[in-house]
Amino acid sequence: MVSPILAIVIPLAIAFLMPFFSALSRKSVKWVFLAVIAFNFYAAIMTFLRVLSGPILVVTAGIKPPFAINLLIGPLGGLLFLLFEGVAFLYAIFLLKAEIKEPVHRFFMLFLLNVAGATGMILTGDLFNLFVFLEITGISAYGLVGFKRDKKGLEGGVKYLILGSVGSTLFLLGVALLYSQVGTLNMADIAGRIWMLKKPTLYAAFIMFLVGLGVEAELFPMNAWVPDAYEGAHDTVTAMLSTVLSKAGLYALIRVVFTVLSPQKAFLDLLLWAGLITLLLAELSALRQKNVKRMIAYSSVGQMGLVVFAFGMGSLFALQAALFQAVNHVLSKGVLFLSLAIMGKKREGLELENLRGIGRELPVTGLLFSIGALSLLGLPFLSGFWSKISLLLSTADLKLWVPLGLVLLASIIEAFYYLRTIGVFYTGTDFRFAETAFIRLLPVLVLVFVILYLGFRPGVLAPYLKGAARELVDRSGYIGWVIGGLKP
Amino acid sequence: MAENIIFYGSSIALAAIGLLIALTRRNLIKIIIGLDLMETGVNMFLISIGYRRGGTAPIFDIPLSKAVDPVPQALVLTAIVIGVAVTALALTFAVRIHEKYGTLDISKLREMKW
Repeated sequence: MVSPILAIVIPLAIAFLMPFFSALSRKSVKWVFLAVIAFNFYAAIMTFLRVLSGPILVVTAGIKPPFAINLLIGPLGGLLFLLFEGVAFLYAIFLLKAEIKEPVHRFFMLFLLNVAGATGMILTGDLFNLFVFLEITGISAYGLVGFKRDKKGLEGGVKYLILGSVGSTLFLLGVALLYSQVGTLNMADIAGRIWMLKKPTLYAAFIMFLVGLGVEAELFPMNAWVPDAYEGAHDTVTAMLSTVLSKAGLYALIRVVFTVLSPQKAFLDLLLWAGLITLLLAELSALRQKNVKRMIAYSSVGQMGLVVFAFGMGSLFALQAALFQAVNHVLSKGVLFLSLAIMGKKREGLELENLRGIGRELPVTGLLFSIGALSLLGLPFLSGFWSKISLLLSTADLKLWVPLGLVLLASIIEAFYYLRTIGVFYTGTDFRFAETAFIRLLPVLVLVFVILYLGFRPGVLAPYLKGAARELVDRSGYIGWVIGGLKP
Repeated sequence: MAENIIFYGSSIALAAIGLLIALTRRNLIKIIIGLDLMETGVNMFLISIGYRRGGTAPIFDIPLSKAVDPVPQALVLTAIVIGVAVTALALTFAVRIHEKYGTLDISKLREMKW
C-alpha cells in the first residue's frame, strides 16, 4: 500500500536533489528521473485499484479536515492520476534517447516539479493548496518552455509566463473572495456552505476561476500563449503541456465549478459557449498553419474547447462523454507529438513541405501518427470514435441543435487538415527506409495499442467514466466523503 | 466596517491597475511591474479580509476575539514567496530576450505569428 501523497512528495524532493545526482554521474540523471516517474506510476496504479472499492481520504498533520489540508481521491481523481502518471512514464522512456540542451539535470528537475505539481492539482482537496500546485506546475512549465533559450522558446515562454501569472493571480483573488465569505479553504467545506454566498459574489468568484484556470485549460481568449509555447518548447515538453497540463487545468476548473461552486445554469452555459468558440476559432486557425507542430497545437486547443463544451452540457451522459474525450485527447496527442518529434530528427524544421514523404522514410512512425490523427477525427474502431459519437449523441439528447451543427462543422475542418497532412506524408518517392531506435518508438506504440484496444472494447472504460461523472454530479456525496465519515 | 471597505477597495484597485498594466504595456519590464502590482493588490486584499480593528498578532495566549485571522497571513506569506519566484523567472526571461532580440518591446517579438 502506497500513500498517494508520496507521488507528490517524492518527485518534489528528488527534483531538488538533482544537482547532487548530476555531480555523482551525469548519466544517472535521466535514470533517476525514470525511476521516480516509475514510482509515481506504481503509486497511481495502486491508488486506482484502491479507489475501485471506495474513495481515499489522506489527512496531513494528523488533523481531520476541514482543519488541515487533505487529499481526496475519488473515481475521477483516480482515473486522471493513473492517466497522468502513465503518460508521464511513457514520456520518461521517450526522453532516455532525446537530445536535451545542457544543463540536462535542470531540465529533469523542472520536469519532475511539473509532474509533482500536476499530480498535486488533481489530488488535493484544499483550494489554496490547489493554487500552490497550480503555481508549481505553471512556473516549472514556463521554465521548460523557455529551456532551449532560442528565440522561439523564449518568446513562447514569456507569453506563457505573463498570461499564466495573470491567471493564477486571478485564481488567488477568487480564493480570497470565497474565503472572505465562508471562512474556510477546504473544497468540501466551502461546497457545503456555498449557500452563504450572495449571488454577485458567487458570480464574481466564478468569473475569477474561469479566467484564472482558463489559461491552463486553454480556453479562448486566455489561450494566446498556446501555439507559441507549444512550438517553442522541446517536443516532449509540448506533449506534456498538451496532455497532462491542459487536463490538470481542466480538472481544476470542473472541480471548482461542479463541486465547489455548485453548477448553476448560467455557469454551465458560459462553459458551453466558451468551449464552442474556442473549438471553432482554434480549428479555423489550425487550417491556416504551415508548421505541423503549430497546427497540432491549435488542434489541441480545439479539442480542449470540445471537452469544455461537453462539460458545459452538464448531463451525466455528457460528462461521461467529456471525460472519455479528454482521455482520448491525451492518448492521441501523446502519439502525435511524440511521433512528430521522431520525424523532426530526420528533417530540418517541421513545416509541412519539409515533411513530404516522411511516411515512406519512417513507415512505422508515419503509421502511428496516422492512427493517432484518425482516432482524434473519430474513425470507427478507434478509441476516438466512441467518445465523439457519445459526445454527439448527448448533444442531440439535450436538443442543442446549433452547437451540434457547429461541432460537426469543426470536425469536418479538423478532418480536412489532418488528412491533408497525412496525404503529404505519403507523397513523393525515392526515400530510403530509416526507422528510428525501438526505445523511441516504444512509448508511441504503447499509446497506439491503448487506442486500438479501447477502440475494440470501449466498454472497458465505461464503469470508471460513469463513476467519475457521478462524482462530479453528486456534490453532497463529495462533501460527505471529506467532512463526514470517511476514515483516512 | 467603513475602513474595511477602504481596504478592500484600494487593494482591488491596485490589482486592477496591475492587470491593466500587464495587459496593455508593450515593454517587458513594465509588464513585470504590472504583474507585481497585481500580486501585491491581491495579497493586500487577503490581509484586509483577516483584519480586525485593534486586533494583534495571533499568538496562543491572546484571547481569540483580540487576534486577527491568522489564515490569510499564512496564505500571503506563501503567495509572496511564489510571487518572488515568478518575478525572478520573468526577469530572467527579460534578460535573455534582450540578449537575443536586442529589445524589450514584446510586440517586436515576431518570430511567430498567429
